[in-house]
Amino acid sequence: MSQRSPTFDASLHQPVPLWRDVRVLTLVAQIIFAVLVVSVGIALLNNMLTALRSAGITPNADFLQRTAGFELLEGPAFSREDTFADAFRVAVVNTLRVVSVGLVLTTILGVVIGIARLSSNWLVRHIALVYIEALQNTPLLVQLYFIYLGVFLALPNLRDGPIELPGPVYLSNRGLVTPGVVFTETASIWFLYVIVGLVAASFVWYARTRAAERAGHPPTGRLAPAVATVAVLAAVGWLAVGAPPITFSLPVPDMRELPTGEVVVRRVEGGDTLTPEFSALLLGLVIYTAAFIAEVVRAGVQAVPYGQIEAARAQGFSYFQTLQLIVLPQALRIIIPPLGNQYLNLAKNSSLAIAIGFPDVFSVSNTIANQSGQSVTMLLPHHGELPHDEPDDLRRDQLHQPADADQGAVRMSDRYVYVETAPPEARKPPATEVGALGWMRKNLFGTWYDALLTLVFAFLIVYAAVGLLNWVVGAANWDVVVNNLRLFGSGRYPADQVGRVTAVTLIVTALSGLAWGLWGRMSRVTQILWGTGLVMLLIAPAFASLFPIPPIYAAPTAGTSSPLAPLIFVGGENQSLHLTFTPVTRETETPKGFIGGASRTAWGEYTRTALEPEQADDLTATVWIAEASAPDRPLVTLTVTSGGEAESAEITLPAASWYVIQSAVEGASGAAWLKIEGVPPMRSSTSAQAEYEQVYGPPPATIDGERPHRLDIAWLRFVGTRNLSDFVAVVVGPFAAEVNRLALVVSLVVVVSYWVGMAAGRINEKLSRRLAVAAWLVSFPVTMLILRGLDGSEALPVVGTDRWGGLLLTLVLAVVGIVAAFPIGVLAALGRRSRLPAVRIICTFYIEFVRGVPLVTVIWAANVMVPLMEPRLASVDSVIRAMVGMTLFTGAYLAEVVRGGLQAIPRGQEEAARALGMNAVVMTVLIVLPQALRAVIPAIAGLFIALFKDTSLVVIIGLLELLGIARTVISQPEYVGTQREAFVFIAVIYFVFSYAMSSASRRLEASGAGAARKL
Amino acid sequence: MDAGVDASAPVNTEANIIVVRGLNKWFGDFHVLKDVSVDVRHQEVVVICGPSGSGKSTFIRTINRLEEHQEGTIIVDGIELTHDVRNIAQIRSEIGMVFQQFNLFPHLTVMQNITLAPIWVRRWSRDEAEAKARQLLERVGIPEQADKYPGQLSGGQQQRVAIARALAMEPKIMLFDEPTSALDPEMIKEVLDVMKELAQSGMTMLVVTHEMGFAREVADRILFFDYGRIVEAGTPEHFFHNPQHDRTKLFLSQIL
Repeated sequence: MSQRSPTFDASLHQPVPLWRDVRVLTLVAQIIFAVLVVSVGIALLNNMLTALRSAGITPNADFLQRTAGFELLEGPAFSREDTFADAFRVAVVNTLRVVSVGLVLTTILGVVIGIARLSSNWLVRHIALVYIEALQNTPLLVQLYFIYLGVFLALPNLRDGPIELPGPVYLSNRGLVTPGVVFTETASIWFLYVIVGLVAASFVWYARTRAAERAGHPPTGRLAPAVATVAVLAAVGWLAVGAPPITFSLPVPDMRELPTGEVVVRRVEGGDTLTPEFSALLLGLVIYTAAFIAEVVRAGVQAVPYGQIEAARAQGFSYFQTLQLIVLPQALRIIIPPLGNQYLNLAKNSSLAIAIGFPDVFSVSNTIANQSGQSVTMLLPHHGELPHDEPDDLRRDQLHQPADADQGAVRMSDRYVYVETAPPEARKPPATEVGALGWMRKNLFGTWYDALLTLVFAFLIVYAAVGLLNWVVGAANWDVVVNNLRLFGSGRYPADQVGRVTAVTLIVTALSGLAWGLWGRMSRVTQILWGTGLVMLLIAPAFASLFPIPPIYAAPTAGTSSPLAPLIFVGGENQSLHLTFTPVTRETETPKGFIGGASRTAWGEYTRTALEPEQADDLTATVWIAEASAPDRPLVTLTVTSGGEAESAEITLPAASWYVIQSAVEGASGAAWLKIEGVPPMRSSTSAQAEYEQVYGPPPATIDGERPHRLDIAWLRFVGTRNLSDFVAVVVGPFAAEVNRLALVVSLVVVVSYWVGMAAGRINEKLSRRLAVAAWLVSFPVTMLILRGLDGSEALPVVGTDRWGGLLLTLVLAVVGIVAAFPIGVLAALGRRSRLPAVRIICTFYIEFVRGVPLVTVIWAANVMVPLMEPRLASVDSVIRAMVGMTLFTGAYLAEVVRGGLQAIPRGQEEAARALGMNAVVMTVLIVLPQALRAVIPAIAGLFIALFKDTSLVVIIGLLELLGIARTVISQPEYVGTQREAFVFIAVIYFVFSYAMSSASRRLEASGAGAARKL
Repeated sequence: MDAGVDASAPVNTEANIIVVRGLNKWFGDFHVLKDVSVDVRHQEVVVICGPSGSGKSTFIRTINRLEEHQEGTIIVDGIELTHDVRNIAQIRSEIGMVFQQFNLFPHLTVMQNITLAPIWVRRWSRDEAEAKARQLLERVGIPEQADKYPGQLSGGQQQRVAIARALAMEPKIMLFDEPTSALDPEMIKEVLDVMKELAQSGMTMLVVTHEMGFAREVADRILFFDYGRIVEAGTPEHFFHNPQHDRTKLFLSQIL
């Protein structure tokens, strides 16, 4: 019986032909795959080396010993004579400094906010929620720029006197100077005492613990003796070494008297200085990561079943004992893995230092690469710099996945629960009197401690809200936004082709509305909010015209050959305006309103420097106003002289036309202000200009041989503080006028397509849904075609990707990234689960390698290497290169998401398919992927949102997407000083998109649509 | 004592649709199947029972190669199960299998579950496959459920769909891997009735089950597995009333 070599009919034992033997086939498949991957890799590498050689660069490490030739102002001392290797060392120190300090601070802040999120106090809970949502839904890079440009660099000039805080701490745009600690020569000896103290203290601790154990009671009273031991030894050491081992250095401003007699701060001496770059990077990383850590902490604590807490209470534990002995030990096990991931993210995100010029590893490598030509070699360190993520950890936080990865699998099988009959009708609970007061008592004033918190936070909120409102209404200069809406929308896309962008917007809007009607429901709240918003936007321009327009000032000034170019504006028939012409004296205060030409801070000085104190002002200035078609026939003329009286006139315009104001001055010094009331500043956007031309005809190109200025908002500056009426008249009205037509069209398209979707769903749900999905698939190439155009086409001339920008480019990058990454991600995920080792290893390597690198490095690498790797790709522009980088990056993350979906499919599914005789391809396409992909739809949505925010990183390679455009706009001379307004505006755009998408995906996840049969 | 056939018994692939000789399988170091040799005649119903972990499920899973065996020979309908991909595909399409957890495809309707393999593996036309599917649903008693999704059906109904799905490939042999173990008691009968009807229609069946009533009534032969071996084999009469092996007696005393 135990004999194992049975005799068989020889005819049965036919040898298996090689081409049908499973073992041979799998081996061959692996060899082919490996050879293919390796040979493509070698070909690309070879191309790259050839390209580098032809450029005279050989990748090797010798360049590290060459002299750097650049300076680093941060970290250990470094001068331009030091080598590249030294520069790299400095960079590593800088990175470690930011990351190590950042980890500690972000953990503290994150835990505090996470706990606040769980507070029983409604107000505290919701402040934490707002903090988390605001930071998670805007890109880190936007936050960094805001903090750096809008906060640290917007601090007062050192010269003008830094802000002094108690400490003393001095804040200026050169950084933060705090009291510093200085170690003297005796410090090392004193440290020995401290170390001995620590050793002794640990003995004390141990002895107390043992004693308590022997006595049989819980170990208490060991902290105080241990601390005392250290303190005593430190004190003894301090006295023993003689000179104090540690001294403090207080910052002292070094004042200097200028020749004018003014006393200014030259610099602050002593203390420790934190540069604006370091401070901004640190602060940005800390507050951003803290938002994610807070969510991790909250999820961890909430994952502890409530039964645990009830059981602990039943055992008689106190609140804090329950927390310490029951909740925290269990929560920490859930918190720690994703917390580690957040730490990694912080380390990876520190590479964004390059954006604000902080010399970290990535930034310095970039500089070295540019200086030495060793771009390819310098890519190597980034990978080693960072440890890998745990393979199973998706970026959960960003993917909105449940904290417990296994839950996916559990839910998957729970879904087959069979319910035969509906449960009996549930009764309503007895009506309990809740009421507003009851709610407040429960949620705001539960205990004295709660009440205190509520009051403190309510005060803080009111304070912050008032400050914010004052800034928004009074101080902020929103012209930068209103005037540049087209740039923010589509960048440098040619103005005459913008209709194509609108067309694409409407196509996507229609499809979204259709999908909304087919798969979702528009809630009543959404309808009301949307409708109200739209109506307000539509009536806003008319409403704003009810408010008085602030006056416009122009200043004919002596001493300039052309005192004021002709000013043109549009005026309607019977429109009346009031002119006042006032000679300026040294006592004249800067008026409130719009001023022409000068920057708003320079204005006061500008007119006053025209007044020469030692000689009598002898200005004679004349202004006259006329129809632009007949500039020589003035409707009114005003003349003033220095020291004379002001003149004023009230005129009524005869016809709807272009008008011109001209001026002439005589004399050597002096100035006069012309105040114009009743003329609204013209809007400067392309669409507004087209409107003016339609109504008033084309503007005159020249007036008396001079190019006229328009009295438009881009040329005017608001000085003084606005009040609400001014805000409505000059910000809300024009802004609404710019956007309300698009908003109306978009809303109509959404409403119509939503109803079409609903109706189609009622007629034939399955077919309509299929059609909608097909339409989405078709829309992708169609929209790309419309945007890019056709070669040689009249109707759709080619608009190169280099001209795409703004929100358009942001969305295109995100969509292309996720769509193109899809096949890569799915194949890599399948490959990683393959039974064939060669396939598995190569796919795993790709996924883990890419996931170990920050995206900014990938984008940068793609930008440098794509043209080198394949000669035919040399001419592709940066947008395409960025797309390649983002696609490869997203592919790796998508692969992990899909792998999660694959793992959630019960093994039995594959077995059943195989038992039915399906081969691997049929099984994968028909059974495995449909289920896996449906299960991970919410996670893919999360990935898309993350990608949407990450597109801001392409600013590093100089692309002009939303963030890039914002930076370009604020660098224009007329918008200097408006960085906060610009960044706040784009942050709001990012937030609106990101928040809308994430709440939609959360709803999708909650409804189970991702997993259930819905498609 | 008859513990299956001897490993060196002559191989007759004419009379026996399944011939297993000297089958050995290991999971890592664990020896799951030890020298298993069995002959199954055409149209025979064989019930396989035994304690948990005795290798009975693994045994029937090796027959359609859901598990690969390391030693021994399996010949199904004259085709030897080797590393030849063509043989594996051919054998799988001749063997239908029903699982303990049903393993219906949750993203497809009942109709699609049944017609998928005939269309994609057998290359039938959709009409042909759907006609066959309707006929099979009629046969398992749930013709009205064709357009529902598995999640909307009861366990018993799901398992009957699984049987129909396997039958749609027109197999010569049906393997049942504890088909009623995941069902509520009130649903077991409806599945067993379908299986009885199938047995009466002349299907060759290998059934791993703990339903001794079914075994007594329907089985032509019962194999009793323990520690990866067949310790007892024989007709229900012999198995229930005259077991030879002590292990079998103990097993029967505990379940009856």
